[in-house]
Amino acid sequence: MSSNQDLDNFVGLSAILTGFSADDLNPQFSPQPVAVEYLQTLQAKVAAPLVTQLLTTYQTIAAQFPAAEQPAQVQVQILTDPQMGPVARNIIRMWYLSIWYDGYDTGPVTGFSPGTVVSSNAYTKGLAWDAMQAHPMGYSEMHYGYWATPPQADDSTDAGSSANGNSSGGGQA
Amino acid sequence: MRFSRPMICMIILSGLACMGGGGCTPVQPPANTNATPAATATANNTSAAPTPPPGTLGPAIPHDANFSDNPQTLAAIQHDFDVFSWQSFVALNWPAMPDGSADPGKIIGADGDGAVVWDGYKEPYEVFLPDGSTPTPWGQQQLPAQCRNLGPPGDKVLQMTQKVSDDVLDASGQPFGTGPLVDQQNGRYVRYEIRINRDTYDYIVQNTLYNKEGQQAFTQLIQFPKGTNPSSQAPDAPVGSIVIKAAWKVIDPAQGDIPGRFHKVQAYVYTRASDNPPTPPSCELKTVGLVGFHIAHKTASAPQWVWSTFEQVDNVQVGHDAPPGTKANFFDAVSTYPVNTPPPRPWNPNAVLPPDKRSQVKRVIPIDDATKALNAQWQAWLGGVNKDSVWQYYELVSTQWPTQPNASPTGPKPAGDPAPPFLANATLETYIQGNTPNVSSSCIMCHNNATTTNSKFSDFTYLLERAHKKGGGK
Ligand code: HEC
Repeated sequence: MSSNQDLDNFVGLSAILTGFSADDLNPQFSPQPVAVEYLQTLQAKVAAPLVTQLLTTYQTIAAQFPAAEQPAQVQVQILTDPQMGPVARNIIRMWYLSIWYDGYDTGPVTGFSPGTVVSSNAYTKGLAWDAMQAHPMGYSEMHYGYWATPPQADDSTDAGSSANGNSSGGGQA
Repeated sequence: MRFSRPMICMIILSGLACMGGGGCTPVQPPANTNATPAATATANNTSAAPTPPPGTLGPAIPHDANFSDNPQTLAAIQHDFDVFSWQSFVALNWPAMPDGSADPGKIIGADGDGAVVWDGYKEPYEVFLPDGSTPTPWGQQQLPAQCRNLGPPGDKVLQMTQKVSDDVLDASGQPFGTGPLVDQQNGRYVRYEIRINRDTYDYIVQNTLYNKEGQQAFTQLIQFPKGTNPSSQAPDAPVGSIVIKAAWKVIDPAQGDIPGRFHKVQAYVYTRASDNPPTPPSCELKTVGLVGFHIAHKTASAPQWVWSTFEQVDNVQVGHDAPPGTKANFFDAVSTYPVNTPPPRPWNPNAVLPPDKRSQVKRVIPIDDATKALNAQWQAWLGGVNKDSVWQYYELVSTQWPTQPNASPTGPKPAGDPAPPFLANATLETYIQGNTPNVSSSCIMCHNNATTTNSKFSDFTYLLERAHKKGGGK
């Protein structure tokens, strides 16, 4: 089972990897926190020492560098690392597409790589849909006729349009 | 986001003080009810039952939830909304005066069962008239022709035999396979009723949303009024829109019903003409008992509305303090009829189904332990008013609320990530219980699909789909 420390590190690292704010990724009152499911998936799919290495590397970066410098450090220390890099990239895919892709550590993931949708809850919460203001097939909260108006920069939802890295804090008061 | 604790100037009066009559003004609900019953028991309370904190059992409908101080957690906010649900349930079922308002000289259940506050609310068929004309003013009722001249007047007209009426069956009900619910005691169809409060009615009438032309002409975003708790700055803050959906079953002691466990009314049970099977319109006067109760209330802290749902405690299993031999309303261990499955077609609302075809309902998501504890507390308080009170035999299933209340209605996630994610009443969402997104019952998620007759978002209520054209027609 993961500790809160693991979850905090996972969410902090994920915020840098995805460009969404930590609050967008793991809202304070989320009734079904997808971050918890993703961390559990990571822990089930990747050897424990590597997961620990990944999270502690991030924790050290977060402790040593100001926020503005952390993304560059994640790039240098994690994404270019031959062990941690592929895992980190698979975490990005998991957040955006709600799928854990197998074989991520044996070469680049192709369009037809086998993978598993993390859960029905995760399926509805892929960041790809938030980033493009669209919805996954078969699940939409948007109101009838939304397609007739251009997507708007919307900072008022739990996963607003902060995919550019300027995290909006979810726009919550 | 913080769920803020409103600064209200509270006048706290003991609810029990109302029993003595005299000047008992509506009381503000307390900010929280964490006080233990023992700590607040008064010396003049001779019964063994615990006394609620002062003002808890009151006739004032809360305008919004009151949030306790830090730490705010999902569970703490859920508790605050659950308390709001119980306060609303008590206030809506408070004894009514002839004009429909709460009788401040009475206390719920003290003098037995009788007319309650929401009986005075309007029904949709009175608002969305077949010819699209202006509805009758607040406080006047119109009866279907078959129900006139039936002798003594009934309290209610119950028309709906399915969870979704014919008017809107093409909306979102049909794909979910809704069907009728049949009780174990009588083999009769459960009937449904919808009522709207004054703020809802006024918004519809003032904006001419009661006919198609009016809806077409209304080009703004539909936004029903939000409730805000009164404060010294805003003593007249609105209660906000409240919409109720109730489920009733026929009560017949000869068939094993225990009338003392139900809120009961005399109702005209009205059945519209139908082709399959061929059925003429009919109207019978029956005693019916409340088995399910939805409250949707739009508030400042929940623009996606707060969704409270209550049940009679014997619905899916026999509840507390039942006399020996009591049978559940919708479950019989010896029946072989499949669980959570609608009755066989054709569906005839006037039919009396044989025992082996009566509904077998199981609750798929159990009531949360914290809500169960809160239920026991309120049931004890209601039983403390009068040991025979019917109101102690109701339970809150849960309250659904938006964890992201600021979500924009025109954005990609307008539903505001509701908690709990799924919620169903065994008598109203019987056949769609579960926890599959887009399939299982979630009040907010489904009501997020509600539209006007010209397909515009209708602010979470399906009411506006009932409008007809001016002069008649769909
Ligand atoms: C699968 C969709 C669906 C779900 C889930 C659902 N409802 Fe409804 N509800 C409807 C429809 C459709 C109507 C309109 C029925 C009619 O007018 O005959 C309605 C009507 C109502 C009404 C009165 C009219 C209105 O639309 O304002 C209330 C109140 C209500 N529902 C509350 C709830 C609550 C509380 C829950 C959750 C416990 C819930 N509903 C779950 C579809 C749903």
